[in-house]
Amino acid sequence: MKIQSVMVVDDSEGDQMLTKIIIEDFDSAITVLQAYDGREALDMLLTASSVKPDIIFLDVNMPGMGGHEFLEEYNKLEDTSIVVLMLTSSDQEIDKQKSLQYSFVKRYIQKPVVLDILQELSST
Amino acid sequence: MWKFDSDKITSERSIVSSIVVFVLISVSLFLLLSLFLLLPRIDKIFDSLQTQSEQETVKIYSAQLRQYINARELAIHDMANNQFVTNAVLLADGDNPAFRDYIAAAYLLGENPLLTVLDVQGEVLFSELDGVIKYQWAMPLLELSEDDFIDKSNTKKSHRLNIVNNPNNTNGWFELAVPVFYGRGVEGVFIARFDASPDTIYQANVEINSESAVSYEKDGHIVSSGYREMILPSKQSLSINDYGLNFTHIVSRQYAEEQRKKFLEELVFSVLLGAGIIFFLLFLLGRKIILKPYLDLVKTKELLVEREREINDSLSFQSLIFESIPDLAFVKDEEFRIVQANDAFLSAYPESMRDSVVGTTSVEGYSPEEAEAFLEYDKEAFKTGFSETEETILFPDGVQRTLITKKVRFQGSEGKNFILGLARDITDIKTSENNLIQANTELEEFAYRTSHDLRSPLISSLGMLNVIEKDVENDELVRAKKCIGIVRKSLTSLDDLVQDILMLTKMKNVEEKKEFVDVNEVVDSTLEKFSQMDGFDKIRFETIWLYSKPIRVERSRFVMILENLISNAIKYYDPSNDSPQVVIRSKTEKRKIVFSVSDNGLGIPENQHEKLFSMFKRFHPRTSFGSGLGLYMVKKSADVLGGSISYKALEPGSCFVLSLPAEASK
Repeated sequence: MKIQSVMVVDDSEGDQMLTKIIIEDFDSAITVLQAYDGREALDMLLTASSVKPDIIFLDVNMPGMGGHEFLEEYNKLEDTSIVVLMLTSSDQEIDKQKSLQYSFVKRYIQKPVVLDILQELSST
Repeated sequence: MWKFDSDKITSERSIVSSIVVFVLISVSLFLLLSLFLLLPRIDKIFDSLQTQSEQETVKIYSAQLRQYINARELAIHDMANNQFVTNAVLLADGDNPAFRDYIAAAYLLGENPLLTVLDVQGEVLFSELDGVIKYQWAMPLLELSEDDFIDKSNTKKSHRLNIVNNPNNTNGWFELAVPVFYGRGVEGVFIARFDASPDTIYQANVEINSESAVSYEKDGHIVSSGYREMILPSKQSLSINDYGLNFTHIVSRQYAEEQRKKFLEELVFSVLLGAGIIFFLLFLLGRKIILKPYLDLVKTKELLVEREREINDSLSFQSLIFESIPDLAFVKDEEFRIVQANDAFLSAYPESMRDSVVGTTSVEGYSPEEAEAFLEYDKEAFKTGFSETEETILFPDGVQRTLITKKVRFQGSEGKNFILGLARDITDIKTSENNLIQANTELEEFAYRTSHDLRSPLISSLGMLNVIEKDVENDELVRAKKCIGIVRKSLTSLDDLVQDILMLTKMKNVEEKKEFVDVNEVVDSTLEKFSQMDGFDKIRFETIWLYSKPIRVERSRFVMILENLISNAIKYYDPSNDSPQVVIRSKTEKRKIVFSVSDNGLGIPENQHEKLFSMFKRFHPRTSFGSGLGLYMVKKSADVLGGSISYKALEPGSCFVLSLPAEASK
């Protein structure tokens, strides 16, 4: 899979930056889109002019619209072709199950394992 | 319900035994009564009992005696006329029964007849003098031939009186030896005796004509005897008839006496034996058949009394329990009418209604839905024997209570079905349970969020440190510096979180005393404290004190509330607003003291309002600083102060209102 664009949905400024650095270090050609909660991410996806990401890194706990609410809303969209990877510091089994019930959610990753997954995904 | 089957049996047995007792006692009484009635008539009965032959015998003896008596009469007559005629008149052989009776009768009457009976030859046929020392011999009195005796008309006169010399009689008198006769006089049987001296008979001296002594041998004895011729006085008026002789009766009476005595002994013995047997039977039967049912009856009755007492005790105890239990207890009949209700049940009704509750169905006082629900479980209990339900009901007294109600069917003594209902007011328990559930949920949430929110900045910082390390190696110091800033920020927010958690823990555990707090002063120092916050300088602060007196509260909690509300107002100001402002007010309202902090800042999205006071809620992306525990702590503190906190959305902005009870003003 050729990864051209990645969206990072995370309320933590530090995590946003860290993820962005890792992605850019991996491949500086990848465009990194940043959203600070689920609502912002949905708005960006629904804006026709914006770039459509290949991958969404989604945090679970966020103020405003959280990760689970985002998945719920995203699932209602016609196009759910984007691969969603949960990226969270939550190790709760319930969070994992709630996320993986959607077919478009491919991984449930606990921070901070980002590099490995990028390598894995790019090799497929 | 108890049934004494033994009742019927016992009563039947007691009837039978009553009859037996009655019969036995009647027989005994009859026997004893007969005995007493019989005794006075016993003579007549025995007279009639004498056999014909006995009566015949008596008649013959009597006739012989009569004959003898007649002869005596003649003798007395002769004697009275100085004619000594026969006196040994009984021509009886020695075995004459009449004679024996004659003598026996004399003894019977305590007499001592000195009788000698001679035959006509002068031979002694019978003598009472035999063996009696003073009379050694008795001479024949008469010299009569057998013929003379037989033919009384030829009786010869004798001028000689045969007398016996009495050796003890010093005056030389002779006794006239004559036989006796017996008679029955007015006073009873007596004996007339002619064994006295002549003057005993004639009560006078007799004149002696001549005396001669004679001595002769008789049966080996020398008998000296003197003869005297006596001139007897004139005849005494002595008639046999004067004595009312009745020999017949002498004999029969003696016989009857013996028989009666014998019979009486036998009768008394028999009656006593019979009565004894009856009483023995009564004694034997009494214990087993007669008395036992009575004893059983008494025992049963005692048992019944005892049982009745136990039942009464038990009933009053049950009643005590029924009335005393805190549960609402009631009994309903098949028409769902309340037939019994305890005080706890009645107290759910307004006082005016309490007297009329029993007899009505319980559903009149309720809404139709609740009434239907009530009856549903009544019906189930009547059908299956049991029902249990938990329900929240608006009671007739206007109080809403949560009850757990058990209904149990039971049968009354007349076979009718009832249900006993026991309703426990679990409103408090329910509230506690809900509080506990909520607390537990909060605790879980807390643990979950804490683990997440504590780890996040650490993980982030660790990742950042890797980047920084590489950047330093590659000499990309600008990015490294930026990263360090981010790490600092992460760790600072982590520190804030830890501090909030510590505060929350402390808040939950510390009991604080109330003190008077000057609100104005608190607000001033709070504003001073937050003066370095972003945007503080841009915001216009305003205070409106409609209530300005010090309030009596737990200081640190009150301060914490105000600090949180004010710092929130500052944090979430709207940078796009040209004139951001925060207004702090105080006033009294409906016996409450109300403080409010309002702003024209970012406000809170409408869909988040209900989660506002929950833990770890943050509502503003990008501006997300703080632990998410602030408003949760505010809410808890307001609870501790006995007040409440509420949120009002403004256009634009937010308004938080803290209400404290009026007591805080005192």
